Order: sequence, then structure tokens, then C-alpha cells
Amino acid sequence: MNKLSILCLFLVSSIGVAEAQELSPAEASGKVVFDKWCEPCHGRVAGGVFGGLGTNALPGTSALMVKYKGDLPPVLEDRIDLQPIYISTVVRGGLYGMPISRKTEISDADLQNIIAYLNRPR
Amino acid sequence: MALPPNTSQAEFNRALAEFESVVGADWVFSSDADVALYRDSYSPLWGEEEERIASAAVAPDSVEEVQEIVRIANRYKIPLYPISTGRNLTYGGAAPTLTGSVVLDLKRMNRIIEVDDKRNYALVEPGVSYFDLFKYIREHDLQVMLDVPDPGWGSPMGNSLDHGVGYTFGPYRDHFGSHIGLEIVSAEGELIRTGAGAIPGSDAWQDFHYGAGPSIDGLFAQSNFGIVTKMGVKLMPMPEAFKNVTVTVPRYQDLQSLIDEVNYLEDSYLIGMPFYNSPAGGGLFDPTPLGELMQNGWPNPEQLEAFVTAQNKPAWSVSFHLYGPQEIIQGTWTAIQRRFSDKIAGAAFEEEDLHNLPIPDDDIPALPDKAFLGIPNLEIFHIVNRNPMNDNDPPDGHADMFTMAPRTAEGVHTAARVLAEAYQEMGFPPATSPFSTPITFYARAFVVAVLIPTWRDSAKNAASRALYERCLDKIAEIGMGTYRTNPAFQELAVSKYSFNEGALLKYQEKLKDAIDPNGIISPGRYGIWPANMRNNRG
Amino acid sequence: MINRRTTLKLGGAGALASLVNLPAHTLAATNTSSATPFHAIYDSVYSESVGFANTIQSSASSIMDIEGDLSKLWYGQLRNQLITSCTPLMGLTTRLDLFCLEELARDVGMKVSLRIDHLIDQLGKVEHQINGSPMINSSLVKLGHKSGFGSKLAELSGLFLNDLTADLSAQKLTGPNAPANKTALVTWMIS
Repeated sequence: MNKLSILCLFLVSSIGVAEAQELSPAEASGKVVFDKWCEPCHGRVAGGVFGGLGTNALPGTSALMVKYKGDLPPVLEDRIDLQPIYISTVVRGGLYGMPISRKTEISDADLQNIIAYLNRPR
Repeated sequence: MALPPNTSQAEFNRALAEFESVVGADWVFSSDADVALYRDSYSPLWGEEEERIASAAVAPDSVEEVQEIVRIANRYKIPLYPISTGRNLTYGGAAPTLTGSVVLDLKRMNRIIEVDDKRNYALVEPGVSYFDLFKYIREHDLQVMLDVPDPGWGSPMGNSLDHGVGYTFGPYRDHFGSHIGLEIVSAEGELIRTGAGAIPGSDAWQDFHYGAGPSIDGLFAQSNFGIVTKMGVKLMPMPEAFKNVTVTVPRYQDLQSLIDEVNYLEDSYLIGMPFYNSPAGGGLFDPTPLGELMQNGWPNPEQLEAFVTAQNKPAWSVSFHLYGPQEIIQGTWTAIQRRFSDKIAGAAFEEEDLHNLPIPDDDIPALPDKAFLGIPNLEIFHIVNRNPMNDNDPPDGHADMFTMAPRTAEGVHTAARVLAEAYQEMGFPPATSPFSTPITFYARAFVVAVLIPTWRDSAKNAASRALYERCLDKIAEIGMGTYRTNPAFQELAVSKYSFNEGALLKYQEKLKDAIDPNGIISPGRYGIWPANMRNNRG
Repeated sequence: MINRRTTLKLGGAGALASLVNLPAHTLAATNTSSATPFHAIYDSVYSESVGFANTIQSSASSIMDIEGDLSKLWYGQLRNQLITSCTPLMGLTTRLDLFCLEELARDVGMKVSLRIDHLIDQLGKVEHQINGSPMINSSLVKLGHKSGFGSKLAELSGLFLNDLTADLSAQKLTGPNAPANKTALVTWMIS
């Protein structure tokens, strides 16, 4: 491996590390909760069954692709404007196929941390 | 806010205070906002007086706390409604069967007590989810494969206790059928263990199921005879490999021959879950409009054969996974092709590559068949979520209506025809057709499934409920019933199991009266009411 | 013959014309044309919103107060009405309520088609940020920087409704948050 590619590798890896380090404790906790409870439907990964409109998006992301029609990012983690009251209303009240989440699943503290994560500065 | 039946606010406040002394104030939920979290998100009665609403919820963290809560509930005669992860969507979710019940939220009891990959079992508490168990197995590099339902965020215990089902190898798809050993808190607060677990000091609780004498395990599924606090789960050893294969047959009339052979293979434990489809009928997710074929009522066999011929596609297909060492997979597949070729003229075969197991983590997201490989996921939500076809008015939920048909072509066709009639009678376009295929959740029965939308709108829900009830009525006329349903339909569903003037329900009621004299466990669940509520039906 | 009613009509149009740079007869024609039905939404917490509501109620098909619980309003009556017929909504609310309404409206295939932000500082001075069609943008230059803009905007509802083909990039531009020390209200149309 020559020096240039080593340098690139270092820069790429340090960028990745830097981004992870940018999360505050609340945001980092929020990401853990998000990855457990939200990501299986609202994540960005491709793949899976049913095709989800042929893009292999996960169900929540797929539904938001149809809803936003390109006007807004369908991946929740890519939104920069999600309001706390909206997030908590949807989590606690459900919306269409997304059911209510209870406090024994996502506690109030967990919810605040998810909100912090989704509103992390970028 | 709802109160428990025959309980004053003052009495209820005292009971809540006693609950708090057991679990701590943080884990008793009685405010309107907190109790609203225990609504059934997919309720067919949303916002109506008949919607089942809890009075409060209590979340214990241990068996001892559960026992104490049960004793308190008995003193006050307050009904409890135990839930495990409370994600039983379409079948009631976290909401009780009887308005005013206190939900006993067991989510905090989420310990994975043991997973053994030499004797191939797990022992879990109610609040463990399939995701939790999968993660545990992966992190500990245990060589066992789960059988998961769709979606995968529910509880192995809770799903089993509602007769839930999965997607892998025959015996494991029946989740209650693959439990092994229970620990139960009785309606009077006593602790019971079944099977070998009833021998003090036994190490065989998850090896030997029956014990000596009558097994009572079946009493605790889809019922209200006690609160299960531990369950053993039989697990399949992680296969070395898998291969997905497909058999197609050309003619409409070939379905029975196809079923006969698949039944042989399934009942001989040679194949994974048979997944039936109809290429000529358009397939499951891209139904070809049958157009003129359906314009003059249900077509006759000649019309159906002509239609199939015109489509130039096989009438039927069945796909399944073969699991095991590759030598066995290849040998089994060779034998399967030989048997089909001997029995059905024109049978054709397709196969995918052999893949080793377990699947590496990085390869999991792209897998189209996660459930067939025991990988929990939420992708089933695609079926009911917003999509281009329902974008103007996506449903708020759905109530699954699964008809249990005999494992024959006639069983499938008859159920599909009767369901189509029910839909038409209620003013809905039919959701079933002559090309409807069965789902083999239970290895020895056929499921003919329809998903009826639910709404946060009382007028639309009224129409959905009427449709659901008509379906239940009509399938009963042809001797078929359902296996699982929402509390809104449970009484109607169990009323169809009426042999000998309802002898079965009467027997269950006698048991209920003896086991739960104060009627505090889930009154009304699957039609079983305690004596003090029986005449009024709650 | 000019009767009292005609005089008043022309007089009213003239007054409005001083507000917007449009010929008076254009406004009069707009106001007397058969009205496009619309629902009006306001928030009784804010006086400008109340002023908006008082003026608009005579022309709106219905008028609804958020009363601090937008989801109750939405799931209570509004969503079903809109699923049946995508009647435009017009309102003067907080930015946060607009954010939520915008999300909810997208669920039924509607979008923000007009947006006028009003940033009110602690001294009561109002700065307006206008995002709509070029005609609307230019016509509202003279909205002023004092209180009372809510009712003035309500008087222009006919203009807004007849401009429903507005540039849809009006949606989601300045975000739901208020700058420090300012109250952020917004007049909007969803159609």
C-alpha cells in the first residue's frame, strides 16, 4: 500500500471516528435506542423482502418515500427539522401502520434521547 | 378514565397505592396520558364506546412482584390483563379484553435465562423479544436458529401463548407446539412449574415436556387461566446450509397432486415451510386482474384451465427451503425432483444456490427471506404501509382474518370462494379468487388469509367489523374456523366451535371457575368469562 | 345606479388596493367571485391569529381553533374531511403548528402552497418573510411592520385562494424554530 492510499485510509477512518465522537452523551444514547426501536423500519439500509417499491427500502422509509415524493428525505436520520413535539406525538400516538410505543419499551428519557439524536447538529 | 368493574375510585386508588408499594411509583401508570399508551393501535373499535380501554397498567420486574400483584388484585377483585411485549398487533396489542382491566405489563421481565446449543433450547421471560434473543445468540456465537414470526419485535413467549407461528422447519413453525416447560403464577398467586421443572432440583426442565400425569400447559395459551413467567423454547440447531427450491405444475387441476406430494414431504420432515403461489393467477404481490374470468360468478374448471393456458404460465408453484448439510440437501432435492416428475406430468423445477449458515451480519440486510432463516425483522409492515396503491388513504391498521382450511385443494378453493362471497355481500371487492393459495403456518393445516383494514374512523371501522363478522359466519357454515383473532371478534370466533351445544366452552368455563374464582385474569379472553360476568358478558 | 352597497364595495377594494399594489378593480373582482371553499385554522393564544380568525370567518367554510392540541383537531375532524375532498386550509399559527400540519397534510397528499413568516421582536416590530408566487410576493411588500397584519392577511384570502397554482417550493423553507427573542408566527395555505 503506497503512502497516498495510507493517507487516504487514515483520513477516511479519522473522519468516521470524528463523526462518532461528535455525538453528545444524550445523542449517543439516543442512537442506541434509535438503532434498536426505530432503525428496523426507518433505517437507510437497502435490501429485504417485498421490494418496497422496488427500491428495497425498509417499510418506514418506503412509506415516507411515497409520502414526501422527493420533497423531504425519507430516512429519518437525514432530516434536520424534526420537531420534538412531532416525534413524541408519533412515537406515543402511533401513525398509520406504526403502533404506539409504551414507556416500558421507550422510556421518557429514551424518547428525549432519540429526539436529541435526530436533532443533532450537522 | 375507565375504572375496573364494580370498583369505586377510592377503592381503585387504594389498590394503585398497593401496586406502587410493590413495583415502585414509576411503574404504575394511571394518568390518562400513560394509560392511553395501552390502547390497541389497530383497534377495530378505535374511539368508540366499545373500544377496550385499560384503567391502569403495572409493570413488575420479578416473579415475586407478579405474585404480590395477583394477591392484591384478588383482594380488590380487579381484573388483570397480562401482556409480554404487547406487540400483538391485529389481535389486540397491549389493550385488555375487558375495559377497566389493569394491564400487567411484563416487558420489564426481559431476562434471557439460558440458551443451550447442545440440547437446543432457550429459557426466557415474557419481555424478551425475538430481536433480543437473536442478538444474544449472535453475540454468544451459539449454533441455534430461531423460528420467528412476522414482525419480529414480539415475544417468543407471548407469541407462543397466542398460538403464533413462523416460517422455518415444520415443528418449529408452531410456536406453542415447540415450547418446553412453563412457570406460571396462578390466579391465586401460587407458583407452578410444569414438566420436569416440577421436580425440585431438576436439570431436565427443557428436555422433558410432560412430567407425569396430565399436562396442563395448553391451558395457558389463548386463555386466562394463569400468568406465564418463564417458558422453555425448543430451538433448531443451526443448519450447515440452506437452499431455496421451487416446483411448478402446469394445470389448474394439478393443485391437489401438488399438495399431496408437499404434504408427504412436510410430514416426513424433509422440507421447510412450503410457500404456495400461482404464477398464472398473477402471484401474491402483483395480482393480475382476472377480468372477464370473474364476471359471471365463480368460474368452472374448464374456464379456469383455459385461463391458465392463455396466461402461458404454470398454474401453481411451491417454494421451500431445504436445510442441513449440503450432502443431505442435494440428495433430498434429487429425490424431490424424482418424486414430482413421477407423479405430475409437466412438473418443472427451479433452484437457487446453496448458501452456508449462519449468514454473516453484513449480508443480512439484503436477504429477501429473513424470516425463513430465523432472522427477526419488521419488513412485513410493507404489506399495510403507505404505498403507491393506497397513497390516498392508507389504513391505520389491520385485523387479520385467517381461515383454517383442511390441507386439500378443495379446502383452499372453497374457503376462497366463500370469503369472496362475504366480501361481495358486504360491498367490498373480493380479496380472494380461484387462484388464492394457502399459507402453511401450521404444518398440518392450510391458512387462507385476508387482511381487513382498521381505521381511526368509526364509520370505516363499522364496515370493516361487519365484513370480518360476515367472514366468520360464512366460513363456519362450511365447517371452518379461525385460529386467532382480535378481542372485538373473540366471542364470535369461539362460538363457532360449538360441537355438542358448546360443550367445549362449557368445559373451559368450569375450569375457569375452579382456577380463577374471583375472575381476575383477563376476563373474556377467547370468550371465557368468569362466573360473575358470564351472563352479562362483561 | 350606484347604491350604498356598491360604494362600500368599491371603497373597500380601494382600501385594500392601498395595501397591495394591485388595481382596485382586480381585487374587487377577486372578492366577489364565487369563493373557493376553504377551512381556516387559528390559534387563540395569539392576538394576530385571533384577528385573522375574526376577519376570515365570514368567508371560510369552517374555522377551527387549535386550542393547544393540534393532533386532536387533525384526527378529530380535519383529516377525514380532507381525505374526502382536498379543501384548502388557510391559517395563521405558530411555525411549530405549521410544521406538524405540513407533515399531517402530506399524509393526505396536500402541501404548503403559500407561506408568510412573521418574526415579532420584543418591541412588537414585525418582519415578514414571504414565500409564494411572484404575484403574491410583490403584492405583500407593503404589509407593514406593526400589529394588525393578521386581519389584513385574512382580507386577502381570496387573492391567495385564486393563486393556488403557487410555486410549491414555498413549503419548508425557514424551518419551525423561532430565532432567539422573537415570536415566529406564520400565515400559510395548504392545498
